[in-house]
Amino acid sequence: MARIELNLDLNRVEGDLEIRLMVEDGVVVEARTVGTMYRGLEQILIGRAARDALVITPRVCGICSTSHLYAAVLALEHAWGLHPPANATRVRNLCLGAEGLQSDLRHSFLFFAPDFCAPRYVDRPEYARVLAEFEPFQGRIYRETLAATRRIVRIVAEFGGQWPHSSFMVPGGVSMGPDLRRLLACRAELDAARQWLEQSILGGDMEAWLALPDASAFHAWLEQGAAADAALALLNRFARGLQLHRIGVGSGHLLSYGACYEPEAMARGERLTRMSGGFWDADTGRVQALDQGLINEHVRHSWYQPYAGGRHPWEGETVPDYRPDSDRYSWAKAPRYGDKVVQTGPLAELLLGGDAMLQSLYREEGGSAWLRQLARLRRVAYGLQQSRSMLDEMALHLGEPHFEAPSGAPAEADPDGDGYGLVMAARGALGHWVKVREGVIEKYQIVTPTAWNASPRDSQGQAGHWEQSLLGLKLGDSEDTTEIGHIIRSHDPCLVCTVHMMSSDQRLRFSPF
Amino acid sequence: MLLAQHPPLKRHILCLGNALHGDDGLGPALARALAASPRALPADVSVFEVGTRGLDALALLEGCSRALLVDASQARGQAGRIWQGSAAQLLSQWQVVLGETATAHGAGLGFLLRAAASLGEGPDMEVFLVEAQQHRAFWPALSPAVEAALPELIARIQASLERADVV
Repeated sequence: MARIELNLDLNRVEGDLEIRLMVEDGVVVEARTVGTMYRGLEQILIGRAARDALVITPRVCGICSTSHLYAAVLALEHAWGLHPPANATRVRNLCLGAEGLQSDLRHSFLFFAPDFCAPRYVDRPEYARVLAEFEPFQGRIYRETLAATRRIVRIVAEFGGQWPHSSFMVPGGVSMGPDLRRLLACRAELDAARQWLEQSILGGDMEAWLALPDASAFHAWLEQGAAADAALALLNRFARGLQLHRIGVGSGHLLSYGACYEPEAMARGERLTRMSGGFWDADTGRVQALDQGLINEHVRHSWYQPYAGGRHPWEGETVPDYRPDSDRYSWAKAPRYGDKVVQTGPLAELLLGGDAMLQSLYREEGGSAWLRQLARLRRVAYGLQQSRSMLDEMALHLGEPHFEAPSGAPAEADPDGDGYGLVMAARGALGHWVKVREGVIEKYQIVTPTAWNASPRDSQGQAGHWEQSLLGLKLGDSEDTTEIGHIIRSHDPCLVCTVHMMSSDQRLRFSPF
Repeated sequence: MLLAQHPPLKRHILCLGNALHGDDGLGPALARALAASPRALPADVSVFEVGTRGLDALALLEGCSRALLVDASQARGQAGRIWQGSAAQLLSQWQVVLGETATAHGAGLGFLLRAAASLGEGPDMEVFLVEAQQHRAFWPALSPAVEAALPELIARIQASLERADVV
C-alpha cells in the first residue's frame, strides 16, 4: 500500500488556505484544511463603542461587506430592542441581494468555470467551446461577467454611498431612504442583469427557470432551444462529464438562517424570512427550526487559547495561541450546530428554503460539488426576483420612514445588552454576536460561512465539512490538484473572511523592473 | 436652443495597496498626501483609495476619460525607484500570472489591467509603480526609501496631468 502525504498550497484557490492530504493508493484518506493567517477582528472590537462595529466589521471582507454590516446592525438592534421600519429592511435586503448577485456571478464565471479551461481537459468534448466562453480575459461569458457585475453593485452605492465597505445601516434603520430616482436607477441595473442572465446564462425566461419542478424538468430545460446553447447547459455538461456530480459531498447536515427578512414583520420585531431557514439533520432526515442557542465553536485543533468543548459565541473568545508543533493546525475555529458538522451556502439555503428542483436533484443524486455550484447559479435568479420585489414594495411605500429613532431622551452611552444578527451571505450562514457593557463592546464574535465549511476538527475529532468533502477522492495525478480545486472551489472559499488578512506577498510578487 | 451638452471629462487617480503592510501602503499614502493638498491637483481630478482588490476598482474606470493607477511593486534591490508607463506597456513586459486572479480577494492591479483590456473600453490609463523595499505585514508605515519617493511621484503625476491638460 502506497501512503503519501501531500501538503498543497492552494493559492490558486485562496491565498490563506493550505490543504494537507493523506493519500493511500491514489485515494484521499485524510484531509486537513488549514487557515494560515491569524484572525483578529473580534479582539479589535473589544472595548470600542458599540456602533464602531458598523464601520469595522464591513472591513472583514471586500466581497461580502454588506452582509457583515447587515449582521452587525441586526445584532445591535437585538441588543437594544430596536425594530427597523419596513422600508429600512427593504433597502437592506435590496443591497444584500445586489452584493450576493455580484459574488455568485463572479465566483461562478471568473473563478469556478475557468478551471474547466485547464490544459488537461483539452481532449474532452466541447473543450473549444469552454475556452470560447470561460477562458480568463478572453472568453465571452468571462468578459460579460466582468461588465455585468461591476454594474450591479451600483445598487449598494445608491443607498450606501459606496461599495464595498459601506456603513449605511444603523440601529433603527438606514441612512438613506428610497426615492423615485434611486428606484429607477436600481431597476435599470436589475433589468440589465436579468436580461443578461436570461440571454447568456439560462437561455430562457427567468421565472420559467425558477418554476422548474423537478430534476427531469431541469434536464429537459437544458436540452431544448436556446437553453441548450447557453452557458448553464455547457457548464452542466462539462461538469457532469468530469463526474463533479458524484464527488465532494461533505457533510449531509445543512444550515441556513433563512433568506430575505420580511420587512413588515421586522418592523413588528419579528425576525421572519421569506425563504425559510433551519437545520437539516441528515441522521434523522428532518428539518428542525433554527435555534441559535445550539451554535458553538470549538478550538481544540485551532491556534487559540484552549477551552473545553464548544462555546456559544456570546461566551466565546478568540485569544491567539500559536503552537505550530502541536496537533492544532488552523487559525479557523470549528463551529458546530449542537454536535453536528454542517455545510452552509446556496445549496443549504435553497434546499431548506423549499426549491423543488434542487430538492429533486438532491434526492436523485445526493449532494456534490456540481450541485453546490448549480445552487449558486440558481440563487442568482432568486436574488434578482427578491431584489425586484423589494424595489416594487418601496415604490408602493415611498415617503414612509426609513429610520426609527430610539424612543426617550438620547442616552449618554449606548445601553447594555446582548444581541445577535444572522443573515445568509453569499457563502452561507453568517452570524454576529455582541455583548455591550457600559457603552462599549465587551464581547464580539463573528461566525462566518467559511468558518462553518472550512473548519478544522472539533473536540470530538470530527473533521470539518471541506475535509469530509475530500475524503475518498481518487486523484488522477498527485502533482495535479485540479480535482481538489474543483471541490474546494465549489464551496466558494473565503478564507480571508475567516482568518481576515491577505498576505501582501501574494499581491506584490510582480515587478516591471 | 441647446443642441448638446457634453459633461466635463473627469480624471481619476486610483491608489492601490494595503496601508497595514509596509510599502504596500504606497497607494494609500499617496492618496492621503494628495487629500492634504487639495490644490495639488486640477479640479476635475478625483483620487480614490481602492485597497487591494482590482476587481472592485474596475468600476472606477467608468465615467472618466483618463485614469492614473498607482501601486507598489515587488522589491528588486532599488527601493523607491519609479516606473511610469501606459497600461499596455506594463502588460507587455510584466507577466501577470493567473494565480493572482484566482479569487476576488487576490485580484489586484494585474487583474485590473487585464480585465480593462479584455473589455476593450475605458479611459486612457497610465501606471505609476514604486519599487518596495520590503513587504512587512502589520506594519503601518512606509520604508524610508519609499517614503522619500513620494514627492517625485506626486511631481510626476502633476506633470502627467498638465501634459494631458495641454492636449
